[in-house]
Amino acid sequence: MTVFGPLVAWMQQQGYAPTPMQLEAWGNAQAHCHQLIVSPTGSGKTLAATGMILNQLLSQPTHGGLQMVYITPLRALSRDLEKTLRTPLAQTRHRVAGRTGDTTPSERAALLRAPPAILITTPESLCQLLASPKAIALFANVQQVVIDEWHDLIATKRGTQCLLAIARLRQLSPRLLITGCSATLAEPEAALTALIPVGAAGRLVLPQSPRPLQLSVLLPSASESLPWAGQLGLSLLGSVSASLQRAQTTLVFTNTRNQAEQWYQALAIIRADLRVALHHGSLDASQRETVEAGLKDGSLDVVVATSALDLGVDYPAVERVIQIGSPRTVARMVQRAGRARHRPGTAVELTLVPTHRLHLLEYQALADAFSAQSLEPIPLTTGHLDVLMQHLVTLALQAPWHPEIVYTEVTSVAAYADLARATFDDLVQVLQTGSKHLTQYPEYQRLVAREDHCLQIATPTIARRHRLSIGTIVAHASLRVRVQRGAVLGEVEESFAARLKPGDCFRFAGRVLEYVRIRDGELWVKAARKVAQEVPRWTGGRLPMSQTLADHMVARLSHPRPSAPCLVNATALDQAVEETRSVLQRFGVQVDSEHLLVETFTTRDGAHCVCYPFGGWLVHQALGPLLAYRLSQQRDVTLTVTVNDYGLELLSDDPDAFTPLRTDPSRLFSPTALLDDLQAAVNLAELTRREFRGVARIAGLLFEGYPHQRKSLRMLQSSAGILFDVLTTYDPDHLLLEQTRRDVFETAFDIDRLRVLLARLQSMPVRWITPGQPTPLSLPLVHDRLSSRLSSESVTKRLAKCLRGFDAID
Amino acid sequence: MQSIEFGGLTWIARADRSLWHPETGSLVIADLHLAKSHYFRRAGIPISDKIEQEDVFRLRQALLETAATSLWILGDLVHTSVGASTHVSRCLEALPLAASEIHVIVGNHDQPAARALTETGVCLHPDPTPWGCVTFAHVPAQSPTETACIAGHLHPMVTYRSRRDRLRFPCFAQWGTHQLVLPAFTHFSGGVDIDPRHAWCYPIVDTQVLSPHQTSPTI
Repeated sequence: MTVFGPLVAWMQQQGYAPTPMQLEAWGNAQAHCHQLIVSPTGSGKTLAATGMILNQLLSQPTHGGLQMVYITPLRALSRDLEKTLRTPLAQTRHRVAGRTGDTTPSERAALLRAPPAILITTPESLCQLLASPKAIALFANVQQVVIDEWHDLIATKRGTQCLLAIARLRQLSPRLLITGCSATLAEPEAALTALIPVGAAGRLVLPQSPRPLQLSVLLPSASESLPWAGQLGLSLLGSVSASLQRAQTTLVFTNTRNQAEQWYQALAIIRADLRVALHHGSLDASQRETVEAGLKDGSLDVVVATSALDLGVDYPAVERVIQIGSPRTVARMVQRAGRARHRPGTAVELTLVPTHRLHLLEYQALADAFSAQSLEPIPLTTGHLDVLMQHLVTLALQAPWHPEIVYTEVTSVAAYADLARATFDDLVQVLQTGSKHLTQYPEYQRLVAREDHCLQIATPTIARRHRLSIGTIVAHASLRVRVQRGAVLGEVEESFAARLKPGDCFRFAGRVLEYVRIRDGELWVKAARKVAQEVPRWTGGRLPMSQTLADHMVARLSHPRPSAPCLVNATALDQAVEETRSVLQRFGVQVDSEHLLVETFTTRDGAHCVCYPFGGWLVHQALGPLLAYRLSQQRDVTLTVTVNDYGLELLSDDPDAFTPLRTDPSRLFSPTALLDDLQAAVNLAELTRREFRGVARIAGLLFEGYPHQRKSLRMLQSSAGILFDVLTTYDPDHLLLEQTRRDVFETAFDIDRLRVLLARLQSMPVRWITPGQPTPLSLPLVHDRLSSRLSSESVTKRLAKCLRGFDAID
Repeated sequence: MQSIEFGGLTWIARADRSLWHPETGSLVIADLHLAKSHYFRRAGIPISDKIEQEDVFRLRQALLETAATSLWILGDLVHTSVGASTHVSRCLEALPLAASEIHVIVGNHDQPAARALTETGVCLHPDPTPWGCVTFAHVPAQSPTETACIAGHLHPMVTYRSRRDRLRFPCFAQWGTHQLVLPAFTHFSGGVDIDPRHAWCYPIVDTQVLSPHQTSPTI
């Protein structure tokens, strides 16, 4: 391709030629066509996406202002991208600059004074830039915007925020070309449609052929045994550590940061001969960078990591990938396996390490799903009102805006294409008067209308506060961990820090630390010589099993058959699964898809009733409260609901509460009045209340404070729970409460799947077992309690019962 | 209603979060935080004005029901100086007492608004202030004092848990014979959990105030 002469020449100097995928993407860009490039990591998609601009910059020595905005979801990726994009431009005078949360104020100012040719940024930082009149000049000449890792952003509020920001960029620079990059995903067409403006044309660049994948399951040796519950998985530590080799860089993926800390600690002790390192999102950026550099040059043997390493950057030195526990989705499995070095013609290998026995079944189902190429479909989001509300204030910080014009701008984003004008107007009203009810919020104003109907920001204070709270990631309040007179190690959640007393020891960042004090919003520690068991936990680390995987699991349960051929040690695995089944049968547990297995037993906690629909977390999360609600309608009772991917547990003080499940299951599982019952159940079960925190935070209702905050800000602190109570009592139709309910129904549950499941359950006979103690199958539920409560009793009666069963007050 | 013997006097803890002393006709409350929702609204956070109207209405009802002749507010009458005078005047209009019959201990939130409060005609008192044989304060005493002290500031709450349930209520909290802390009168507030093993808690459950022995564990 002659038009890309300068770039091709540069590539040839480096010793490689453009790939067909790159040529196709460059052609699309040249034809000014929006596109989504779908390809596995390590296939040169950065160059594919940015080729047109790079080529222009290589051919034009003069500086024409900011040409390209490159959006990446991870700060860690931005540093790497800066280097990648700088290399071809090294001989020119064009600059590449990053703007993330880590950028210092002076660098930010410099960026506005002398804009680079290419800007690498995160969705939040882009919105920060947009929230200023200076954005108008800065983005006026931008030709192209690239969104990296689109598969990671697409179904999230961050993704929605990103698209709204791009819609504004298109206003500032109308010829803007949109390019998305994504890992392999189930419905690329849908992902493209969501990315580009409504009605615009776009093209897909698809990979030639997917990389073959081989799975091997680490099975317990004769001396090891696999427990029935638990997510940590240290029971197979011996086998895992024995399989590690020097100079064979291995990535060990865990599902939570807590788990990563524990595995790191264990491996570092057992394999003192290896260079083991730890990487997760709560560690300080400098420590993460050191590890990432080590992964790149191959100077580390083992890196224990979390999903913070799932995305993006390529580590050519990685030879082997191990997954502790279950990756929970087929897509994540493929993504993580793909982190290993790609040698043309060979398969990618992933070693799976079960943490409990039921994982073996899950692995079979994962292999089935992968063989059938069924990746998780992308849940397409409809426009979130809280995100839009934040964005509308951001726009006002740039310039006063007219509702007519901005409505057109917003509805050009696919997620908001169906946004009714009336809803938009209500939202604008809320920003001006706090609510649809005009009288309830005197003095409230975030935006004010000028005489020409344009809306502008009400006060400088509101502007300042808004800039501080831009973003859609709802983080829990955290404290930096600093070694006395030393470096920052990372962050722990405030709730963990609050429990510590001076002298307490805990393990973090792979070290044993002693708590000294909390000062200036930092947790001061010193190295401890003691042994510590305590490891901080971070909320939100839970990865639910995907519906796709759940479906394959049910299929497996009803028709046991040999494992799919992508499993290397299929025979041994099948045998282990058979053993698992026979152990379960000794407990009377027979799982199949013809019956609904229900298990009841009593412990000192109360009467338990555990059902196993194997429907997956999202469906159980709806089914649990629904069942509890319907049971509580038949008698006054307080029920505690716990769910996991396999089943759900109801706990009560009254064993008779579950009788209707025995006598009249079809009524309990009836699809009649489903939505009404679910709505009532959800309100009672406080799910809405929990979800509200995120909505309130994004919409700017919740101001959580900052380490060195001024006193005036502290006066504005309140908890989401209080706000929720105030709004539900005094303004139950408030738009944000509606958004919260929608969030619960859209993200927390899957109504369509629930209907399917209910239909299946209604026709299923119940297989009722009453073991004297919890069966192995119920152990994860009994142990792993993350519950919600639902009650039809009076508060006085509940208190009386609570005091009777009084055993732990704190 | 729950009677509490404290500082040699008999008090009535009311479910509306006030403390009533019948002998002297005094009603005592703490932490009304007027203008708090106003301050939030000014900052662009929509908190309904009704919540304050309801707080004031509840206070009016308490004064009418008890026919109190004086009202003591143990600090934090207002949340900030912003909007303080308007909201205090509005509140005073609704109450069946004259401003001179209303006594306010100056709390941490009141300090910036002290001048505005003086202008409204309420009687301001330093923290702490002796009142008969007890002391009224905003911030509870750090260590046991000789005179029994009644205070606010903490917004005490108490949580009861069993393996199956968890319930949280605002409460009157009493430490020995020297310290009694009132719940925040306003409904727009969070609170500090008091450990019922370390203090006597009188939780407000629905329309009742329960006594500590009613809520102590029965095993």
